[in-house]
Amino acid sequence: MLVYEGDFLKTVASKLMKEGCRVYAPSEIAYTEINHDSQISDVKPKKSVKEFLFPQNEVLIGYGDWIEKVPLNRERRAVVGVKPCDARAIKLLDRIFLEGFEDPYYRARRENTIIISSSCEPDAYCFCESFSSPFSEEGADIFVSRIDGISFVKAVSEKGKEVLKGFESDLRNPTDQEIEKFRNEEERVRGLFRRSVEAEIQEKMKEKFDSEIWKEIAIGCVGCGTCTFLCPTCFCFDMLDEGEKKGIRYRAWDSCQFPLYTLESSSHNPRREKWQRLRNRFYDKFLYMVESKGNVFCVGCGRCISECPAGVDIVEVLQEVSR
Amino acid sequence: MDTETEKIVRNRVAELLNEDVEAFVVFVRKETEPRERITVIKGPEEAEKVALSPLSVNNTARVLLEVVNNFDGKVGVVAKGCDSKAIKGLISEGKIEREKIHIIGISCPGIVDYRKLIAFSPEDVIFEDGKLIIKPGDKEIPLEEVIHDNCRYCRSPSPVIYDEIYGKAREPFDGTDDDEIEKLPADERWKYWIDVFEKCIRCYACRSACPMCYCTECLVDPVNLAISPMSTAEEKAAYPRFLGKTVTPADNLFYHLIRVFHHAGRCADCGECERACPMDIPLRKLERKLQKEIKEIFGYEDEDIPFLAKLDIIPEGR
Amino acid sequence: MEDFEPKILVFACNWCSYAGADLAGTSRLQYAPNVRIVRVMCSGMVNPAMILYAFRKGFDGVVVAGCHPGDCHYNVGNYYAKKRIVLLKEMLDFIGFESDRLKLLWASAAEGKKFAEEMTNFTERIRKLGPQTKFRG
Repeated sequence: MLVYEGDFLKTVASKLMKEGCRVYAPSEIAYTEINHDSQISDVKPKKSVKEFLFPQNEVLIGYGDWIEKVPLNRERRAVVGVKPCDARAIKLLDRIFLEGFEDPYYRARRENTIIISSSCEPDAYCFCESFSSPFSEEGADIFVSRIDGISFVKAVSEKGKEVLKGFESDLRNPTDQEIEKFRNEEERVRGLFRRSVEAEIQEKMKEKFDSEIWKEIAIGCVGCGTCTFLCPTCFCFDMLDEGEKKGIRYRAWDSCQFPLYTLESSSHNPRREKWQRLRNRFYDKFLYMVESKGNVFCVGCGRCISECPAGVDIVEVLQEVSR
Repeated sequence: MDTETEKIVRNRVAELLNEDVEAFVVFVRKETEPRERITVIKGPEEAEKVALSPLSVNNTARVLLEVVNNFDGKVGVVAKGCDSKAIKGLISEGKIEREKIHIIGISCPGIVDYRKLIAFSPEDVIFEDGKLIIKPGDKEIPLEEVIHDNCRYCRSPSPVIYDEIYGKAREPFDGTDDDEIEKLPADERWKYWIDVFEKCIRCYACRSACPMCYCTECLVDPVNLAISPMSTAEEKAAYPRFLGKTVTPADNLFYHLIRVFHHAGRCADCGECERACPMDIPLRKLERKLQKEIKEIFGYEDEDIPFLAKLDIIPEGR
Repeated sequence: MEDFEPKILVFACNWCSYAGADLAGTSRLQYAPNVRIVRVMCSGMVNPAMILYAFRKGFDGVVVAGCHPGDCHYNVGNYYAKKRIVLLKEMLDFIGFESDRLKLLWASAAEGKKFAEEMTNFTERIRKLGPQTKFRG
C-alpha cells in the first residue's frame, strides 16, 4: 500500500482523461461518463458496474448472405470510484466468463477496462461485511481508500501497476501512524453495518428446499426482473436474432424471475410458479454456485432490497431459512 | 390511516376471519426497514401482524387477483382508494367475482415514499393525525412532505367499492391533468422522452407491479407462450414478435407506449408502475396523459362498462 | 432529401378498403407507388404495436383503412380502430412524434377513386415531412 497526498481518484481520472481514455464515475443511476474530475461522486449507483463488461445488449454476429464477425469492443475505458462490492462482483463474473469456456466478448472488454475501486461506507441496505469488506480490493485493478485528505493506493493487478507507473514520484510508503489510521477507519466502518447474512447457509438451504416458506415469501413478489438486472453478479443472458434475411444476433440480459426463462419448447416449464422462480434466485446464489464454483454469488450490495417493488428482502429471507 | 384505524382494521380482520372469510390480503410491517409488504393471512391468530399506515404503499388488488381463486370461500382485502378502483376494474372485467371478496375500504390520507425514511429504523417511525413522528427526539414531519408524488394527483382517495370503510381521506385533487411537457415543442418532447427512456432497463417491474396487467402472455415476451409440443419451428418463427430485447431508447419508448395503451380507460391511478421502477422513470406522465385524452375526447371516466366495450362514444370530426 | 421516396404501409380491411384498393387497380386509376398494402381481416385487429412496429421497421407513414362507420363486416370492428387510432395519435403527439404520419381512412369497396386520391395525398404529405428516423431501429 502506498500513500498519495490528496484525492488520488481525481488525479488518476484527470490523467486518464488526458490520455484519451473514457472515464466513468458513479452517479445516481449508473456509472456514467465524466469529462471533469469534479464530477466524481460517492453515491452507490443503482446499476452495477457489470454493464461495462457484460452490457445489456451485445451484438455477437451479423448475418445476411454470409455470417459477418462483429469486431470486439476494445475501447479503452476506466471506471473510477467503483464500489468494492461491485469490484468483487467482477471477480465472480470472471469465474463465469473466463474459466473453462472463455467468452471473447467479455475478455476483450475486461482487458480494456480499468477498474479503480474506492472504499466506502455502508448505507441502510449494504451487507458486504458478511462476505468480504468495504475495504476489499478484490476484483479491482487499483484500490483507493481516501481517509482525511490522503489516499491509500494499491495496485492490485498488472493493469493497475501499469497505470501507477506514471505516479511513482507522487507515491510514498505509509508511516506507521498512517497504517494505524487506515486500520482504525476500517474498524469504524465495520461497525456501521445494519444488516448481515450468514454465508455458510448451504446445509440449511438443502433442508428447506420443500419448505412452505417460499410460497409465503413469494406472495408479495411481483415477478419482475429488477433484482436480477441490478444484481452485480447475475449473468444470465438470452440470445436473439433481429431481422429475418439480414440482421444481427445479439445477447441480452435475461432473468430467472421471468417464466419464459425456463420454458421448454415442449411447453413444459420446470419453474412454472412464481415462488419456484423466487426460490431459485436464493438457491442459485447461495447453494448452486457454491457447489459449482465454490463462491457465494452475492456481494452484499443491497440493490435487490432497496429497489424491490414489493419489499422482498434477501437478508430477511436468509434469516428465515437459517431459523 | 393512523394507529387508531390500524387497530380497528386489525380487530375487524380477526373478526371476519372467525366468520366466513377464509383468507385476508393485508399489509405487514417489515422488520429491517420502515416499509410494509403484502401478505395473505389465513387465521385470526395471525391478525395481530396486520399493519396499516401510510407505508402501506403497494396495491393489494394485484395480490388479491393472484390468490382469490386458491380459496373456496371468501377472501378479504384491505383496500385504499386506488386499490378499490383496481378491484372495481377487475370485477367489471370479469376477473374477480364480487361475491367472493370482502373489501375493507380505507379512506387514504396519501402514502409515503419509504425511500425518504430509510435512515430510520422501522419501530421508530409512527404516524399520527396526518403527521409522521420519529421517536428519538419526537421529531415531527408533516405527511405532506414525504408523501408520494402520485398521491398529490389522487382524485379518489376514498374507496369506490367497499363493504365497510374506515379512516380519513385526504382532499381529492381538483386541478388539471395538463403536463408542462405538453407545452414544449415537439422536438424537445421527443428529446425529453428519449432521455428518460435511455435509463430503462426493461426489467418489466412496471408491468409486473400493475394490478391491471394480468395477461398470462405479454406482448413483449419474445416467444409465444402458447406454443405446444406440436408447433413446428416455422410456426414459432412466424409468430409476430413486435419487440425483442433490444434496449435502445426508441424501443423502450415503444414498449412503454404499448404498455400504457393497454390501460386505456382502465388505469387505477395507483402509481405502482412509477413506484416499482428502479430507474425513477416518470411513467405516470404517460398514463395520466392517456386518461386525460380519454376523458376529453370520449367523455369516459370511471364507468362500469370497460372503455373499449363502450361503442356509442365515437367522436366526430377527428 | 431531393430523392426521398416515402415508404407507406397500409393496413386495409378485407371487406371494404382492400376491395376499394382492388377497384382502384381494376379501374386503372393511378396512385402513388410508395404504398404497400397489408390485407387484414378487419381494421379492428390492427394493434397499436403493429403500427409502431411498422415505424420501427422504417416505414415513413402508416394508414389504417377500414369500412365506414356502421358498415363493418363484424359490426363494430372499425369503432375499435377509431378509438385506438385517435388515442395513438394523441400519444404519439405527446411523445413528440409527428402524428401526421399515421392516418385512419374510411374507404368502402366502391370508393376506388377515393382510395387512390387519399393515397396520393398522403404520400405527398409524408414527402413533405421527410424521412421518419425516430423509431427506425
